[in-house]
Parts: sequence; C-alpha cells; structure tokens
Amino acid sequence: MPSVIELCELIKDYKNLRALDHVDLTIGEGITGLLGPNGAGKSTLIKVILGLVKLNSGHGKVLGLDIATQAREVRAAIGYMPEDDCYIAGMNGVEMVRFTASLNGLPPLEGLRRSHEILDFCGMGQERYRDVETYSTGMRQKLKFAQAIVHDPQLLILDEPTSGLDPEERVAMLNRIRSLAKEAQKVTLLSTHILPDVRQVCDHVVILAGGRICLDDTMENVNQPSNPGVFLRVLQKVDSLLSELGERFNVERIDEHQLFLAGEMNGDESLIWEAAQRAGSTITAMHPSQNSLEEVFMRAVEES
Amino acid sequence: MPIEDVGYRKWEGARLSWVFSWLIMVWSGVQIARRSLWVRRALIIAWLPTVYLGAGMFLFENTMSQRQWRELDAVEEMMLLDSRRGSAGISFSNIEEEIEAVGEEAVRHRTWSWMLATFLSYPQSFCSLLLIGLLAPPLISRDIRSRAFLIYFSKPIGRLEYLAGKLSILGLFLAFITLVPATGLYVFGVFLSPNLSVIFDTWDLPFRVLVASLVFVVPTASIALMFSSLTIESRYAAFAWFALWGLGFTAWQVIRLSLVNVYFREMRQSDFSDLGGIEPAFPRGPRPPGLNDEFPGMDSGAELMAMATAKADESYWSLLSLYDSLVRLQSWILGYDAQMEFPWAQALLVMSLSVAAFVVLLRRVSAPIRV
Repeated sequence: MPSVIELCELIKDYKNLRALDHVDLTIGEGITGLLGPNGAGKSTLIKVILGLVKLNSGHGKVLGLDIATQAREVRAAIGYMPEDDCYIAGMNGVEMVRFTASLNGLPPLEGLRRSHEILDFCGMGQERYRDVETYSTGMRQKLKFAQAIVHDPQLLILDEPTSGLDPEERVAMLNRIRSLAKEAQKVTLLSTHILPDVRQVCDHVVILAGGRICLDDTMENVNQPSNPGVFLRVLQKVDSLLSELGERFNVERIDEHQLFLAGEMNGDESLIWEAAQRAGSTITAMHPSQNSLEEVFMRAVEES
Repeated sequence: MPIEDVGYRKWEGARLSWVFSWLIMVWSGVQIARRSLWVRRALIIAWLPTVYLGAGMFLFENTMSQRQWRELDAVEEMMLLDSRRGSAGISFSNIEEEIEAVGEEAVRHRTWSWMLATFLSYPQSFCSLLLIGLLAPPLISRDIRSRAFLIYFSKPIGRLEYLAGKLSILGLFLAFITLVPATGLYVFGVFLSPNLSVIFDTWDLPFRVLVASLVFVVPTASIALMFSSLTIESRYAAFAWFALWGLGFTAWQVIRLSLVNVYFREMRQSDFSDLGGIEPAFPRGPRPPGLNDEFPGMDSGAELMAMATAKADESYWSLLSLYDSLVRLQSWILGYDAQMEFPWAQALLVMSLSVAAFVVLLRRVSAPIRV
C-alpha cells in the first residue's frame, strides 16, 4: 500500500508540555481513523501535517511533499475540515465555499460552478443563499465539509465531521466520506471521538495518547478478538444444550439465555445446530466474539 | 435532492497561482464591506469636498488666465484662504505681484500643491478616519470570533498574505476617497489650464499625492487592524480607534492653547523690555488696534500671536496627536511651503507606530494557530 503521509520521529513541545513525542506514523490509502482522548495531540498532529506549527524535531512527507519546506504545496493538496465551529462571517454559504475555492486557486467562474456542485453533493438546498451566521450546527458541518472538498484535494483531513449532526445526517455524512474514499479514491484521515463512526467507515486505526502512537493497525486486525469464540442466545432448555455442547466445546454460561463457546469454530457450526436439535432448544442468535473498539481504545490509552 | 445533483465529480482544471490569494481576500472583503449602508453613505460624503476643491481649481485657473478675476476679493473669501495665507504665502488678490516675483509656473505649482494638501489633510483625513472606524474593526475581530483562521490558513495562504489582503481592503477604500479624487482634481486642473504644458511644471504632484496618501493609509490601516486583532468584539476596536484620535487631538489642543498663551506673554514681555520696560495697561490678551502707532517698534498682537502659535506648534507635545503628525508629514510631502523642514520626530513616530502595529498584528494572527 503506497504511503500518503510519512511522519518520522516528530517531537513538538509547547513550553513545558510535550504534545507529540517521537511520533512515527505512515498512513496509506483508504480511510484512517485517528483516535485519542482529549489532549492526546490529535489537533497538533493535524496542524503539523498542514504545516501550521513548527516542529522541535523530526520530519515528514505528505503526498511526497516535505511538510517543513513545502507547507503551501501540502495545504493546496489537502482538504481540511476543522473541528471548531468556524466560518467566514459576512458571507452566505455559496460565497464562502466559492471564496475558499478561490483561495485554493480555482478560477472565479469555475469556483462558483464547483461550489454549487459540491453543495448539492453535501445536501445543501436553498439555505446555501443564507448568511452563514444563521446556520445551525449541522448546516455548518456540511458547509465545512463542502469547503474542504471543493478543490478536489487528494487528501482529506476531517476533524470530528459528524459531531453535532442528527442520526440521519450522521449516516449521510459517513456515506459521503465512504463514497469519496471508495469512488473518488480520496485518502482520508478521520479524527473523531465517536468510535462507531470509525468502526463503520475506517480501514485503518491510529490511536494517539499522551503524544505517542499507542496503536496503528488495520480495522480487520483490531476487530480480531483477544478471546475467540461464539456467543449463542438460547430461547429454551438452556441447561440441556449446555450439557450437549459440553461434550465437544469449552462452554461457559454468560447469563440465563446466553452461552459462550470458546475457541475457533473451524467450520464446526453445524455441530452446534445438531446439539440444539438433540437438546430440543432454540437458538435465536449466534455471532462470533469480536473486540470492541471501545475496549481496544481504553486498553491502548491505559497502556500509554 | 437538487435537480442538478451530479454527485461528486473530480476537478482537473489549472489552478491560479497562490500569489493572487491576497487579491481574492481584497475582492471578497470589498464585496462584504460595500453592503453596509453606513459605508456607502460615508463614501458619498467623502466625495463632497472634491466638488469644493474642484471649484477652487476652477477659480484659480480663471484668476490666472483672466485679469478681471484677480480683482474679485470674493474669490479669496470664498476659498477661506485667509487663515492659511500666512504659512503658505498664497493669496489670490496678490497674484499679479506673485507672478511677477516667482513666475506663473511656480505660483501654479505652489497653489495646486497647497490645494491638494488642504484637501488631503483636512476633509479627506477626517473622512478617512471615519471610514476606517466603520470598516476596520470587524475585519480581524470577526475572524477571531468565528474562528475563521483555521479555514484561511489550511489553504495555501500565509499570514503575510492574509494581512496584506486585510490592509489592502482598507487601502482600496481609502484610495477611493483620497488618491482617486486628488488625482482627479489634478487632471481637472490640467484641463482647465491654458495649455497642456502645465504637466511639465506640475508632473511631480500626482506622485506627491500618491506618497502622501500612502503615508496616511499605511499607519492608520495598521493601527486600526491592530485594534481589531486585539478583541473579538469589533465595537471595542471601534471605540479604541476613535479614542486614539479623539484623545490625542484633544490633549494636544489643550496643551497647544496653554503653550500659545505662555509664549505670547513671554514675547510681549520681551517686546516691552526692549522698549524700556513700559508696562501695558492691558495685561492679558492681544493688543488693541492702534497701539503700534504709539510704539512703532513693536509687533502687533496678531503677529505676536502668530509667532507664539508657530513656536507652540514646534513643541514635541504635538506628537500626542497622531492626526497632527500625519498632517504635518503630508504637508511636507506636498511641498507647498519650501521653508518647511522635514518633520523627523513625526516621521519617526509614525514609522514606529506602524512597525509596532504590524508586529502585534503578526503575533495576534498566528496566535490561534500556534496552540
């Protein structure tokens, strides 16, 4: 997988506080979730990638461009959606997106055409002609997203893109992010506190805590359970099924209606159904054990 | 769903250079500013003095070309020249003698430059301060309040381009009410003159106007933006802006009045001492008319007062008023008074304030990004 962001031994100090501590990170194609508790250094890391803060030591490249010496070129190739509730006052939605398109070098007329196209993509209707100061939080989120993608950047950095959105808009926003990554091949760095968002759209997870990288792995590996097995939800005759399964599996009763079969199944699921038939019990749900991202996150943070 | 929704499409056009980014900021800032009704009103009001000075140009050129106009005292009174005549040495009624003494070209150059200096220093400076007070306060404070810095600086734009853009917004509006009408007046004067050869005599005036406008615009815009960058409430910035000029001007005028009184009394005492120490019967105020007939060696009260005022104006206390400092610099640049020395103290003050304001601006603009 070709790397898009390569950061090496980054150190950033704010007076007595070390915000980034020997950060080594490589981010490739797809969507990468950047997780971390408050004060972990996520915002600083993003500012470093954008070339907005000076490093104490270390170096890095974004899309093959040096973040220290080619910051302007790096920013031209990045679409950044800030976390804060930020906007350019005195403009309406179209004007603001057009203005940011112009700052990114789009010619005036093309900027206007593209702004309308992107606002359509973001689901902004006639409210685009309203003053941005009158926008709701959700509308401002969409506007920030629109200004981040209007110049068709290769790399998207989205800071809390779904915060403040209602459930329907949240799903729509995640779909947009996913479609940009899958259909338009945008490399995306998604910084968020909302772990289900990461689980839904990300291919890769990076957890940052105390200025250090605690975890850097694919979503698939993160989901690999530390204790593999299968959870069964049983409607009746749970004891009979427990004794039937006990002959072949290491079974543990979780609660009145739930059993856990430890170990890899390796295609032995049919044995479970046969045992249920023999015991005369009904299995209403069967799913493999999975690492919860929350657990992984908490573990990583605690270990740091 | 919008009718024209085509989903996400790639864009592969050629981008403009980032060198133009500050111009985009100017264009956008001007669009926002001109929506304000008060700004539009201020712009209209600021153009009114141009008509007055245009009439002055017309009268002057007619006085130069037609003998009968020179006898019209009304011309001088109409142009309110009396108060300035002493320093600039300009008088319409004595124009014939002046032409004989220094030549028509010199009189025209001096009068035009005096008119342009008056135009820039008084009505336009006042209108500029008012317009800056309306335009500048929200320019940066609004960006701080709406946290727009992250949007600006995540684009290929730097702090210097951001500030250049903001300064240029003010510069453009100020040029519209100073440089443009002053240059227009110059062109108007050229067309009124008997032939186009006056361009060779007065070619330097448009450049002097340009420099004088810059000398006014750069420090005022920097200071106004500095105030704007220090707060998220634009009204505080507006208050600080008007307070700076109002307090400075008032303080200097109070001190000036006291100094004039002190100098006047000193001069009068010394005058009487020279004449044998005769004490006057009128201890305070200007001398009544007729006294010079009794004491022919003495200056009149008005002359003493003018000398005392001129001496008071040399005081460093005048630096309290930024307005007076800028006016003096502009007067020197327009060069209508050949005897006027370069105002070093005023130039240093204006330069120091501009540099300090710019340093504060740079720090304030980068502060939200640093942390």
